Amino acid sequence: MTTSVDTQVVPPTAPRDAGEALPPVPGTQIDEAPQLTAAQRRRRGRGVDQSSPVVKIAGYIALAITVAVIMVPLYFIVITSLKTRPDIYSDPITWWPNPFNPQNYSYVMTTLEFDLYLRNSVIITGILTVVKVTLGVLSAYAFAFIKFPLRNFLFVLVIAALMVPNQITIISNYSLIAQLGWRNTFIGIIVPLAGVAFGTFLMRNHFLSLPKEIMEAAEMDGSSFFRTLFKVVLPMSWPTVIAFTLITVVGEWNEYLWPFLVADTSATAPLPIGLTLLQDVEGLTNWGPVMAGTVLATLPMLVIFLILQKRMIKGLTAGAVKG
Amino acid sequence: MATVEFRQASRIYDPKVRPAVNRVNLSIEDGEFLVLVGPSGCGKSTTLRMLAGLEPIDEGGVYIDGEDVSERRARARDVAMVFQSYALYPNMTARQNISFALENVKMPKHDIAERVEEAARMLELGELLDKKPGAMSGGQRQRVAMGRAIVRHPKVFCMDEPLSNLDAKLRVSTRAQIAALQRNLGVTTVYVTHDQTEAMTMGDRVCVLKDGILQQVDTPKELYENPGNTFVAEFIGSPSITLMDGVSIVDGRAVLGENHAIDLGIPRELAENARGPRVIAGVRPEAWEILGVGAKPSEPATVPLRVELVEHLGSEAFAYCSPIMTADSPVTIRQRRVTVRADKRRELQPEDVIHVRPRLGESVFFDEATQINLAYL
Repeated sequence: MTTSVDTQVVPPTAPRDAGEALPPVPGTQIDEAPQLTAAQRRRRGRGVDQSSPVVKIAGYIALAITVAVIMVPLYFIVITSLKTRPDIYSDPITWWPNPFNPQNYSYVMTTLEFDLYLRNSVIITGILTVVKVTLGVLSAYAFAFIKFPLRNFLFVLVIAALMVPNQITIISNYSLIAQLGWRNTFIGIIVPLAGVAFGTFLMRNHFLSLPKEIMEAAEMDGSSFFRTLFKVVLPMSWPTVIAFTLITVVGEWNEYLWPFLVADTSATAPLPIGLTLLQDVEGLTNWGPVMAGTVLATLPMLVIFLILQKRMIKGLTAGAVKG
Repeated sequence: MATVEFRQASRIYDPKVRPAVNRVNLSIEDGEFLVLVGPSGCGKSTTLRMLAGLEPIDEGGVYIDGEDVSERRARARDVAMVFQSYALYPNMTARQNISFALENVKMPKHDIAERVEEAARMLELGELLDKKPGAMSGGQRQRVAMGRAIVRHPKVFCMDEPLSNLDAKLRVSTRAQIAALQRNLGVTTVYVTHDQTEAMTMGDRVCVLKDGILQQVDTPKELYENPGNTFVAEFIGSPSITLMDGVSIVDGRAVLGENHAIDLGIPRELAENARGPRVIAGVRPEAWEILGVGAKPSEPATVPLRVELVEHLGSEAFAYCSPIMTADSPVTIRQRRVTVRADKRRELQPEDVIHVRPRLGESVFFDEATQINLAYL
């Protein structure tokens, strides 16, 4: 077949791709250039942004003020932590440490047992986050997908728990923990904080917003209750779970009042308590080590936020149903 | 492979209002393709979901292969479902979506791979297998959803408007593919649609529902030519049938027009079934014969119609006309609309007057009181 005469014949035109648009039918379209009014010319290349320069400048000023309000104190925390004591009190204030004094950090870490407080914080926050996220997801899954008696009443109860300020229960909690002899223990700090209402509320509402057909498809496919949770529901819920985790981590890391009441030694107390104790030891005048401690307490949260925020924003339900 | 039977099956959401599905009796044979069709809210999806196990059966029973499955969970019924929204798991690739059900029954890995390959070959999934639903077009997602159903080799397929999210052209080609696939596999299939073209072209039999009540189950041809009642007659066929109330039966003939000049050709045994002097006659658009255009009739015994609107479909045209009635005519026409199919070679304009006559023997007749086809009485 390779030397067949037919192969010599060149087709008059190359075959077109199926998807390619053909030129318009002769006579239906105008050849000349389209009109271009002054307004059209002005809009060119500017996209859809049509706000006037005045509005834009005002917007930038507002933005700058907002950023300054947040960033200037943070900046001062960081530079103060690197200043020597005379430098902190110099008048007028200096915007750059002179001389540069990172010894504040080694001082808090070694002399003031900050490494221990940091360890305690990691333990407490880690355990609490795991417990709270697990409880939140499981209870929300039950509230969303199992029909049981008094379900709605119990859910209202959970929401009601959200409305009660923590401080109200603190005295009874304290007497109970003290009676149990749990003062200055991790278990004494963790157990009263491990209750979860917000997570249940958040996750349940998210679960209910998932397309009903996907749950039905999982049922038709014979997926078991927990397999549906781990293989179908959770993979569609990561952004919410991560948001919930992040809120929990930050909240527990910064938890102050309760650990302050039940822990007062570096054996179990977390960082915020350590900061208070640090201030007690250093007096109200030596801000360098205090600020170094503050930076050390803040840094882990900043890192975690930077790692998680991208995943939180990413939508994962795309393509589940027609979209 | 299985038979399906609904026996007096009802779905009652609220005892105070009429049931969503009302005492449906329906037998589906092994390997049959049955289409449930009806206007929105008629209970067709609910009926399907009762079979699938996604809705409870409040009265009566559903039997698969003679076994009562009414109280059995969806997963235990060996029924596969294709959803309107496809309901693919967005976090899984097509392959994982398809094999999910098999993994749930702990099938050995190489068997799963074999089945997935088989399904992929049938549905031409090929390179789609490792894509996630988010990266697929609507038609591709639809095929993956089909794959998820067929890979299980279930007793029954349930399909809930699987084509309604596709564009018109793709819908036509997919329609043929699904019908062919079903015939190859020979799996009993219940298919819900609101599109009566789908119903007519795909189903071995078509079941028409209205307000939860089963109206008629029959082959598409029989439904079209011999609708059981006026609702089925109006619902099946597009454009719809013209129904004329108050057609007189004179000497065993159904007649129309001045001096009863037009004979609709009612068979003798049907005329005897008529319970009164008058019946309802239905004439399909293609059953009208256009005998002339213009003010004067060229032939005797015709009905004059004024054309109001003409729809050109390329190969044919439909003229929507208002009848020019004599003042004392006992006949009333529903919707005051007569639809006439015209050959593309006949040029019709709005405001034309056309003279038509129903072809002999192509009309259907209904009892005036019960609205039921005289042939079924």
